[in-house]
Amino acid sequence: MIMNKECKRYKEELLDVFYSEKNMDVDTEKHMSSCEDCQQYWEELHDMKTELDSLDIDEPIEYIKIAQAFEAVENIKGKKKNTLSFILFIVVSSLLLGLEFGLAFRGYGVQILYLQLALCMLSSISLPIIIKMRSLKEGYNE
Amino acid sequence: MEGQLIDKAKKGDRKALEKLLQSNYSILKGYLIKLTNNRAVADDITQETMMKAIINIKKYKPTGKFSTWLITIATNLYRDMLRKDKRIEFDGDNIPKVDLNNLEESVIIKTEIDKMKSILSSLSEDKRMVVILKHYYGYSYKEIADILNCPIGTVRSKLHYGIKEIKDKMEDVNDNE
Repeated sequence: MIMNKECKRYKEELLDVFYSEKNMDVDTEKHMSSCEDCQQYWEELHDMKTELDSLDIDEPIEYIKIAQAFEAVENIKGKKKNTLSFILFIVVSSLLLGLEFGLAFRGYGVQILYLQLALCMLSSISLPIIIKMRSLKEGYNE
Repeated sequence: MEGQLIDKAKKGDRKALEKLLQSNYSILKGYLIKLTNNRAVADDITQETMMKAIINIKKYKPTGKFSTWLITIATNLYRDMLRKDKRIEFDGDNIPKVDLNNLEESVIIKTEIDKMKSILSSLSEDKRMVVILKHYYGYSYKEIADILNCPIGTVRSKLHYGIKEIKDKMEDVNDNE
């Protein structure tokens, strides 16, 4: 009579064999041929497989969901880029403002005013160029 | 073929990454439906998994199949969801619809599927993950251990106890019928 403890060990081996983790060795094969309990266990594993396989329904590919995932990632990246641009803008403008105040404090106030006037005139001249570049970037010229 | 697509995707080729996601979509979604037993939750995690994969594709080191990476991400997201105590309820949406032309057979199939679904969902999360990964996707103990981040011995014992539980419950159900 084969002991239960031994069967437990063989059943573990049989499960490994069933799930292709190992090949059935001679020892297990020999035990199987003489043990009804293990033979039944082997059959039950096959029955269970058939039952479990009924749950394996093939899911169709949802192309739209994949496209939506890409879109969502683009949005996240866009938001991150905007935040970075905003931080950069705050830092640069604070530095420029600080520089302006520093220079004004040292007595260069008139020169700064002239510089600002020149920049204002230049920006109005460069406005058409900026608009053109923007429309090129956004593809309105096509 | 998959290796070439991965190389291209890592270099920023969107089409290649799209193809990779398309070819692994069914595995990912199927895994999550079996795991969560809830189509809406499975949909959410599938979407989040794909987004994570798109964001982190450059960091991906192809040591195994691409699907293994996706399943690892999905498993971690599901675990996070459970940790945040988001209750996942059974909705039974993934049961095939009853065919009116073959009503009797369809009802039998539906009942069988219902029975197996409730048995599978009665397992603990860890055991269910191991059983699903081994039974439906044929991953090796080593691959499952990598996905679940646990020792191979734990995978083996969880599979053993998981299968035992399924068999016992199947017997109980059959005895009651």
